[in-house]
Amino acid sequence: MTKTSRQGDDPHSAAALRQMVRVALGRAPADLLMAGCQLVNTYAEEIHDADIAIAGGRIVSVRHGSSPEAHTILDCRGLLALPGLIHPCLITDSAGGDLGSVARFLISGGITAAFGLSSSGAEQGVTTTFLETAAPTNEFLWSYYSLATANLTLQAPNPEGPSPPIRVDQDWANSKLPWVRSAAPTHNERYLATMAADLSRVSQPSQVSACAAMGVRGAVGVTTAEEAKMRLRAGMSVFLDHVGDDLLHSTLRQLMGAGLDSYHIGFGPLMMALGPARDGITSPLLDMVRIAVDAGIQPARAVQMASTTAARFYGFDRKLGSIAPGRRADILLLESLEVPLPKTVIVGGRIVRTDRQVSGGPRPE
Amino acid sequence: MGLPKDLQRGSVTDASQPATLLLRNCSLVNVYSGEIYQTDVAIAGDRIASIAPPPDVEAVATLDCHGLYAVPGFVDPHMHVDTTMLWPGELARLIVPLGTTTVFVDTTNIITTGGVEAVRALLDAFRGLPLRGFISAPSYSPFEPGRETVAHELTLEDLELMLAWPECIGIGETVSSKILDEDMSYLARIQLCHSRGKRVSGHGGDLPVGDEAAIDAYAAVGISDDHCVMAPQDVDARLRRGLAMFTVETSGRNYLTTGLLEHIVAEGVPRRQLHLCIDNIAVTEIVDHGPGYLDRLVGLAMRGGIDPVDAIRMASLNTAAHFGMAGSIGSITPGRMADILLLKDLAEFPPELVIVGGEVVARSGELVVEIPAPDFPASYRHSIQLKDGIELDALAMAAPIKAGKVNVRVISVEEDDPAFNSCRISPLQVVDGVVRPDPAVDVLKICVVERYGRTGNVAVGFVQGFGLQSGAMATSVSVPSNNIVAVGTRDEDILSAIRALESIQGGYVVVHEQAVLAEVTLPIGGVMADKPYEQVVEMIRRAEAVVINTLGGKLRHPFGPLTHTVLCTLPELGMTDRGLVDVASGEFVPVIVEVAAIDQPPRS
Repeated sequence: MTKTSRQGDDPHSAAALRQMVRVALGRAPADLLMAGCQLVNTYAEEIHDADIAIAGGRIVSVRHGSSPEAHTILDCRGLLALPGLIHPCLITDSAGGDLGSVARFLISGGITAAFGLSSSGAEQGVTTTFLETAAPTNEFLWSYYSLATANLTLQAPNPEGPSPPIRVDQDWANSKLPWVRSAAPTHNERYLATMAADLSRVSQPSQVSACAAMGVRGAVGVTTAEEAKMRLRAGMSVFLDHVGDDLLHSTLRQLMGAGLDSYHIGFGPLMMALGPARDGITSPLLDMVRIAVDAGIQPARAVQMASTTAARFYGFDRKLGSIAPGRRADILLLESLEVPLPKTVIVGGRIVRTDRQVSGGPRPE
Repeated sequence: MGLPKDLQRGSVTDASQPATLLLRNCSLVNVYSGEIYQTDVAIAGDRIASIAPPPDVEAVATLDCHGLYAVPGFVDPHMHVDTTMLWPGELARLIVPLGTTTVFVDTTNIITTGGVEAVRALLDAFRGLPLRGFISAPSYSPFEPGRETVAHELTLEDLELMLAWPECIGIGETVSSKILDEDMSYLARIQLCHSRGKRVSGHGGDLPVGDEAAIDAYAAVGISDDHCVMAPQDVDARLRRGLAMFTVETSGRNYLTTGLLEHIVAEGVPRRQLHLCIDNIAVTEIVDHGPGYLDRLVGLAMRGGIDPVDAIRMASLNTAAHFGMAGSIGSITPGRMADILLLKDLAEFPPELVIVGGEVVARSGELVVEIPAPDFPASYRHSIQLKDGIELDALAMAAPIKAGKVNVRVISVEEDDPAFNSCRISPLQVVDGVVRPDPAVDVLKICVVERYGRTGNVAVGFVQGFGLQSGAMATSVSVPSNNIVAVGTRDEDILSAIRALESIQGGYVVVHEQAVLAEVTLPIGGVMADKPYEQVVEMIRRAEAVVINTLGGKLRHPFGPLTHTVLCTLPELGMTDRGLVDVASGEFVPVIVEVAAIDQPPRS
């Protein structure tokens, strides 16, 4: 894996910021204008008309009308524009193949960024932390953030004792994760290393509470509403697994019915195979969005669960996970949330797949 | 090898360790799940260990909380300690018992009065307090180079230093005008903040109204929030671009109750990008509200129809999460700092008990822990230096004629929102080549005097609205440069007031016939008091009464307008130590517009 950077994609450049200001204000043309979108806005939790202007690989403006001129125009009339979806807990080993082919598969399903665990990393104790790497496709930048991993082994509850003790495995303690080391709260205390699949075996509220006390801020592999509630109460973000359509549907209905706040509930399908998994569906996250909408969740919220929630959880919400100015231009176009396969996928401002007409826009003199 | 210390104190459910404090049977307001339900909360040291402890959990101390709500300590996303006039210790004594346990402090007025060293000192002043303080580094000092003098000019190296402090969450008051103007040195500060992974907090007050392109540009460079959301029409454009909205409700800026709350409720605006915010408030206003701080805004939000859990989130979890700190503050969930309010009723303040870092710090509105004495560097307690002193002739405004009348630009002050002044043209008499103020029609002299011993600049202009019939008043508080501002009916009194300010090293003084009748001492940077807040309030009340009763002032609270009307970012006129500024163009403009009449000297 090589680290790449592209012109204009460097957020550490004042010149890049200036260019964004110029494009947003119409003083310079955009690279790409997605004209006439139905923007699925995961902040405003609504779908509204917008033209999306992109420059330097990032979103620059989202207003409706009086948009900047652009070198390339993509006619998006009648289409929903969704933020690129984010996988919060990709287990690359289970997906099989090298990261490049995993990326290609996920992108075809609209997943434009992933936070990943490697189960082999657990054997090594700690792997890298938030190392951004480019998938070696040579075509476009795909965001993969590899997570620190650690063995969190929780002792099974003792059915005879009145207060089952929670023991923390030494490997966990020795993993020297950032939150373990921080003695006082600082803004740097990002929510790292919270993806312990073992947590799915934790069944008692007191145990979930203890895990949170030790710094677990997110739970994956959650399938039932009861599990989700217990983890939410302990201040965790909850990433629902998808082990069956009916279970997911009923879990979501129960969560909504109980009036639980959905803001910290996201989607994180754990087991994914490359290629068509079930009934020809190749987009694991869009599939979950479809089920959520069917279960009565407002569409923009359902999309939020597959994008913004994960970005926010990892502290990347200024960079990824929504269609808002300043974010990476990772965008999907869909005819409807019922058809869970994107026709157009834009990654880092580049159209990597489309069936739409692309035309050159007016160019500056 | 044992567990790291943090893990040990967090793992109370490991039966081998007792909780240090157990809250039995409280009604927990869980801002993550959105529920309110009865449970026990176990605290171990300064953190919450469990919200579902086993029934037989041991505890060093237990509080029966039956009938009490447990609510996370409130978090203010953006405020200026200096505009309260208190140093952090007294601010803590006043607002922690009301339920605010964390403040995110803007330091613009600190760097302009004392440089980076003063910003560090302010941060250090929070040590040992029951109030958590985090800061945003300034995005400018001065606001406009070449337009005003400050104690210290901000450099990229300064920013780099401050951004490296763990208590620094980013830069603040990032104004749109410099971004829209493509100011490269300003953009470089923004990018530096991004590169450190910290938040760039905004001040969208100067965004062109209704201009979505400007808001696009503002958001595109990575501004994360705006505390100048004033009206319903401001909401959608910001929300759609992921800008967090810090909604202010203070005297003169009562945005929540004049439309925002109603709009939020009626339109079902998603609540997670909404934060309750104080920004600027004087100690007198906090006291006047009952006292009330963020608790008052939470109560207003609830009474305005916002769901109680949402209203509490708008003052806790939303803000903690916005600054990337939800893992440590902003909720009563395991592993977070144990900052907890116990309330009889969700909208009833002050709380019965306030717990900060696992320790009971306030009961029924009174702080029960000691506040250390203020300890600021001597240099910051000696911030007022008049270069080469000041003499009477510096306060005179020369006219191009010997005698007659000139038309002058006059800053016309409104009490309700003093920064929103307007420009009037008034004729003034010229006597012996000098323009005279005219107290009979409430046109007084206003002077801005550089006070950092750097240039000795004195700017002279005229102002209307204070209504003084005699005497003068002066202050060392004038955001953002905080040079001395003096208003008076005659130069002798103005000079006395300026000199008195120098001798007390800052604050407010009221002078009549060259005698100081009242003073408010703010010796820390010339902007903050070192006295108990009750005394500060008393000094202010007394000084205000003297202005009204002895000087004939007609504003109820004359000091607010005195400090704010010179601000160069809001309509129509600003004033610095270098002169009168037309806010729209950002240019200096002459005070004298034209000669209106020339008196011929009598024929001899």
